[in-house]
Amino acid sequence: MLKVSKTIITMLIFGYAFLFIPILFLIISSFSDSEISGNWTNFSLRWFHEVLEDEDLVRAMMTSFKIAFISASGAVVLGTLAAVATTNTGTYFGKNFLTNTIIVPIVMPEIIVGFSLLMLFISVESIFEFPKERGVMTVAIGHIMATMAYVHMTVRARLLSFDKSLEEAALNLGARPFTVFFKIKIPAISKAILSGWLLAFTFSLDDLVIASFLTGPGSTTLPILIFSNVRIGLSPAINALATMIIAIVILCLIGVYLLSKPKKRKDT
Amino acid sequence: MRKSIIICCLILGVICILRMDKNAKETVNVYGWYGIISNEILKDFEKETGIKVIYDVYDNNDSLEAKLLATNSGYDVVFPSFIPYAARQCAMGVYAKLNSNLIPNLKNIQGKITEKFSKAGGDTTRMVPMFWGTIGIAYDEEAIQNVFPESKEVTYDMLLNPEKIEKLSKYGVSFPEEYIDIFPQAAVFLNLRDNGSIKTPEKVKEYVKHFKKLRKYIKKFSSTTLIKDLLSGEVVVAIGCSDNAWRAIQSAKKLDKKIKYAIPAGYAILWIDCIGIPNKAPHKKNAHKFINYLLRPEIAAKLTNNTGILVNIPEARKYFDKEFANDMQICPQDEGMLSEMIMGNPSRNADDIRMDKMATRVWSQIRMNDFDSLGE
Repeated sequence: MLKVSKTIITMLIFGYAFLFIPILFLIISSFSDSEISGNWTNFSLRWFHEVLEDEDLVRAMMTSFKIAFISASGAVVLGTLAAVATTNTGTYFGKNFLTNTIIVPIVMPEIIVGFSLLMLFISVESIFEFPKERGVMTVAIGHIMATMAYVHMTVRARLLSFDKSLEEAALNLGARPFTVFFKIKIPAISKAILSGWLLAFTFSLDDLVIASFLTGPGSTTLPILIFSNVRIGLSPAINALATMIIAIVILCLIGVYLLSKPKKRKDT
Repeated sequence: MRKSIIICCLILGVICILRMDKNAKETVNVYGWYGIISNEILKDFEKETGIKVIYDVYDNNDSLEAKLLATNSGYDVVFPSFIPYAARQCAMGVYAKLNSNLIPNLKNIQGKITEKFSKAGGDTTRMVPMFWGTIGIAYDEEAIQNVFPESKEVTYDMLLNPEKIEKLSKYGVSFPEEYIDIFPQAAVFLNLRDNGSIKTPEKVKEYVKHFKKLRKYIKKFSSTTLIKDLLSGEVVVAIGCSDNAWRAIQSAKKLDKKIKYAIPAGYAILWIDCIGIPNKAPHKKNAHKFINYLLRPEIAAKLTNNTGILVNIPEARKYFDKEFANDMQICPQDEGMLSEMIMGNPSRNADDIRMDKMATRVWSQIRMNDFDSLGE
């Protein structure tokens, strides 16, 4: 057993308290009966009922999940392909340049990403008459663009430590590059792909800036709705909604953990 | 096992994508404030006309303006605030001309508010001056009585007189976020009001001088959190919109608090929100139908009863909730009172715009308590 000094333990406690007390406070106050958020009176589930009965909220949540799902899936496909290309053993012209520039969307302020995409869609529309209207699809494209780099980073990190000899062995034994990619590489980096997907998913779920530039009729996302709600005064229903989302996220994390567990045993 | 999960995910994704575009039905795309049109009204409209309403929300006029100016926004009906937004957008040619044959209920829009709207340069052929309200003082009655036992009514003197606001300051006072909601009252209070603009450089200098004395007594500057602030007791007096005040009054009853709202004579500010149809609206005909539906007195009254925002339809008044209609401060109806209300002028030329910008900058510096850079 490692000996840990008291200072380190207190620092640890403070660190974790800093991270989780706000969330804990939110979860507790979502069970309150009070009209004002953050005010404890009695235990009640009424705000949860209210969330489920509020069609706008549920619709916005579904839209958000839909966009997050599409953009995370798209980002995973493109990000993985990009990572495979930038970690390729062969050298080609401009490889370093490509590897470095792909990270640019991460450091680019979202407001610039959103605005530039809007300009792009407008000019494309005036030439090709497509996309006719902005909506779920344009927001998803914006999110794919912003999150692809995250997937690229996680997958690339895994690919760099990937044992190249496995790939070469498979090629030696007569597998085609395509088969090697799906049978050897993809299983080896599946965890990285999954975490990249989750990163992209959460990014898309809470993005307000890009979405507010690119939404169109019928695609109000949850962050936009919550922000608009502020004018009327935040209702405690938002707390209840946040608690529900946290519960879903925790369930997802548990699911991911359980899925990845048997794999671990095989590794060792 | 893993393969099957991945396949399931893929199938789900494909279903999601395929289900996205299947709105063969007649639709109208509405872009408005959160909560001003309840789902019930939207459903009734759909039942009656068969037109499905897709209602999206924005959180401020700027997001709306960004959408409108970025060509083809895809929206058919929008609800901009008149000053300065709708006035500016109208001048830029963002809105289509309304076809009054398709909106017979347009005749319901009349009276003092419409008069003031036209006088300030509002174009009634392109905009419907539908919603209005005032800016006044929302306050906790008990707290005010404790501090000023001798006065029966709340006045701007309590908020703008440094000696009086000092007494209130320990209970919390909140001022508006934007200069446009407070400079007019300051102009009246400092006797600077004339027929000209309220934000000439000389006048703004006076405001700065005055607010330097007040600044330390103001707890916060917020226009959006009025309800929460008053109910939680964070502040006891707040300058804000009448509709927010009405909601605060209603919620306060459940908490055994007594919140009131007042528009002291001579200080009441009038604001107007419009309805417009953007030039490139894809479903113009449906948009006209929708506007016509909203202009029916009984439907319009529902809007008011749900939100506390007044509608500019005199006939709707008889459908208002009793309690609401009887509160003369929340729901003023005296003609003299209405015509006395202060309403800003939209910016017309480069000079006006420069003054707007200066006032905005000065007010944000006052808010940040940064009087040094203002030369004070």
